[in-house]
Amino acid sequence: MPYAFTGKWLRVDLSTGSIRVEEVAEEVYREYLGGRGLVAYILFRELKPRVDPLSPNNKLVFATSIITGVPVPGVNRIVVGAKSPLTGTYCESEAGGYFAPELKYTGFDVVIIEGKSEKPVYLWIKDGRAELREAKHLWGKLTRDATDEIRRELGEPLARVACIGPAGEKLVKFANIVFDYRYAAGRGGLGAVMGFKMLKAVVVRATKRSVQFYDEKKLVELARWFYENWRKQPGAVSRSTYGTAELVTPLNKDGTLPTLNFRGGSFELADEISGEALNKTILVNRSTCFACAIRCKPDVKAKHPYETDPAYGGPEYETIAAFGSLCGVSDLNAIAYANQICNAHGVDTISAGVVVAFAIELFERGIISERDTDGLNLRFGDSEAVLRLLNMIVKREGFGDILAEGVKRASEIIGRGAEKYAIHVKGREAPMHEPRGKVGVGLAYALSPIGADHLQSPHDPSFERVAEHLVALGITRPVKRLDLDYNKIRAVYYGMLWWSLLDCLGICKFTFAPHSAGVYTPNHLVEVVNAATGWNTSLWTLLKAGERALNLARAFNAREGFSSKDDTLPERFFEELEFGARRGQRIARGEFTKALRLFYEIAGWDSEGRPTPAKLYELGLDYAVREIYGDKS
Amino acid sequence: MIRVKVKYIPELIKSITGTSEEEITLGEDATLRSLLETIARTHGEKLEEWIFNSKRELSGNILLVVNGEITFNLERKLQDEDTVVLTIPFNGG
Repeated sequence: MPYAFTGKWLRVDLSTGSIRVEEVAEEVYREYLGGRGLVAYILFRELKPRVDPLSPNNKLVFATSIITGVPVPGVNRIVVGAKSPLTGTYCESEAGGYFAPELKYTGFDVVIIEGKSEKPVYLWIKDGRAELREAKHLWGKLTRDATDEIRRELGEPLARVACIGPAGEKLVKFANIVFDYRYAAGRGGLGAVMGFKMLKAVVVRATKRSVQFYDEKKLVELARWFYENWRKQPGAVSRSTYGTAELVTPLNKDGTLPTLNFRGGSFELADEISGEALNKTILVNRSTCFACAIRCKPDVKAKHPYETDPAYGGPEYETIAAFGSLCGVSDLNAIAYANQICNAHGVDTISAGVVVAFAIELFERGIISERDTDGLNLRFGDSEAVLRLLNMIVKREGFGDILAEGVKRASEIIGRGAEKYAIHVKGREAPMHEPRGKVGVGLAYALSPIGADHLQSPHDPSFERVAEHLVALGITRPVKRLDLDYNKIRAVYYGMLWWSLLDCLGICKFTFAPHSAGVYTPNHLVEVVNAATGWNTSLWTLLKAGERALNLARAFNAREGFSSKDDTLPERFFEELEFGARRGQRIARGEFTKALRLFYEIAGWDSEGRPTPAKLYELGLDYAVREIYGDKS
Repeated sequence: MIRVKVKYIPELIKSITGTSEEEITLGEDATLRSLLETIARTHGEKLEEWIFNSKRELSGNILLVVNGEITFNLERKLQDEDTVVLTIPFNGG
């Protein structure tokens, strides 16, 4: 057996109940590494084009990586993928916590779920064995209740549980998968895929570690280096002290805190929802992920009338902005409660917040009225109305049933010009980063194979100063945040390959440079991979794997019919910010379109945004050439 | 003498300085470097470690904004009534 991975994949067919173990060659791991790489590899090769995401033919993949399970901070993320019911694109989403190492230790690197069960089931994996168990009694349960019940009936309090809530069962298009109450593979509707398949949960437990690493001493040394050095970096200390909520204040001052459905970039009540405010009011503890010293995850206890259960965790920056500034809400208790509703019912907090803000704007503009909303009077800043609407969405009740389709479909159903206020790319709601103040983020939103996403490439401030870690990635010139010239495109592209690599390896982007909280450098990563596997690989080879995964995901979308017309931004980002520190700022459409074209050429993509045959051949993806261009190329 | 307004944006830095804003009086030929030396002396070793690297250059952890413009030039001369913002180059999450 090779070091660091088991070479075994578990394939579960829910239609027949069959469970098979497949042995996979080391070569596949060399080329795809894990995570995003393996998800793209499996989905591209195994899904027929145009398959309905909510049909037995879609597949759901849980993937670890070649380094999952090493005792190194940041290496802990499980990558889950399927064709997205929200966007119709390739989709993968990552969650931190403890599930990924536990799965690897059971003896399987990857789990592939196929077909559809006739009745609710869950998958139980322990120490190299797997079985499907009945889950009728769990169907309809909130994530915490289902998780507790599963652990109790298995007599396994230490089992790690990935489960869906009622929203996934009701096929809410942005339903997510919740791990151990609080970590989420949040985006793209993977919970709905699981709900359609009638799979309530995947549960893992390892009583011994089934993999060996090549140089365990070196791995401990690398971990120790992190533990000894992270306090020297204020970005990491800030993340540890305030969590991701640290971002509220600086982004607000910068004019890039999405506010009132992206109309403006500063929120007058931002101080009330800041990291400092969270620490002073509702924070009770901080939690962490496997082997990580930073402990950035908040545990909160909100106050009357919004009492929350700390087990569900607390709101991250994205959630605070999505239900806070974006909806005009300044009550942290209400935001924490919204976070709990999302985690308990199993929906993505970003999409949910954007959908609610969209509905409020429609209401305030008179496009919809109380006749549409089942009597609900929607106003920015009205936390009670926000929570009532959220409850209707997660339960698909009344008007909530339309919003549960996501902003794109909801705007098409509503009509009356509602599309203009639906802030999404490829049907996926934009996250809480304002591209009018960070144009490289706008490029990444447009080009991301999964739709608008803030974790595709480092954000523009990362490139304003050339530091050692950027030089290691080949970025040698400083680039200003509003520049959109070839230097910016190059930086975003190289950054995209780097972050694609981190998704292949299941790594938290906050622990590695160039993130402000990042402690490790790119060269540390090479050391981790070599110490884990015994390979003698290089940063070049690893970045190529990141590039391979990105191109395969783009190729998947090209095969589905996505093209350059889909690589764009919502209209609003080409209009001026209405208020805030960057009032009047907009993205120039012509310049942006020109930048996208140049990006295509730099990446080796054609004018439709498809990877060219030459690029695919260069990456060893000859099977993708045949699929997209036929045998003639 | 010149007076410079200094703003501390991240909560982490505010927690060390104890304030989000202060006015600092410097000599006529003051530079960004002399301002940062003054801040480091006033607010202690922790902040000093974060501002400067071992070569006494600006560390990669701190972003300086003078009158709305990002700068890395510590020898830049300061003028009366300049506003200097000390922040961390936050980049998403």
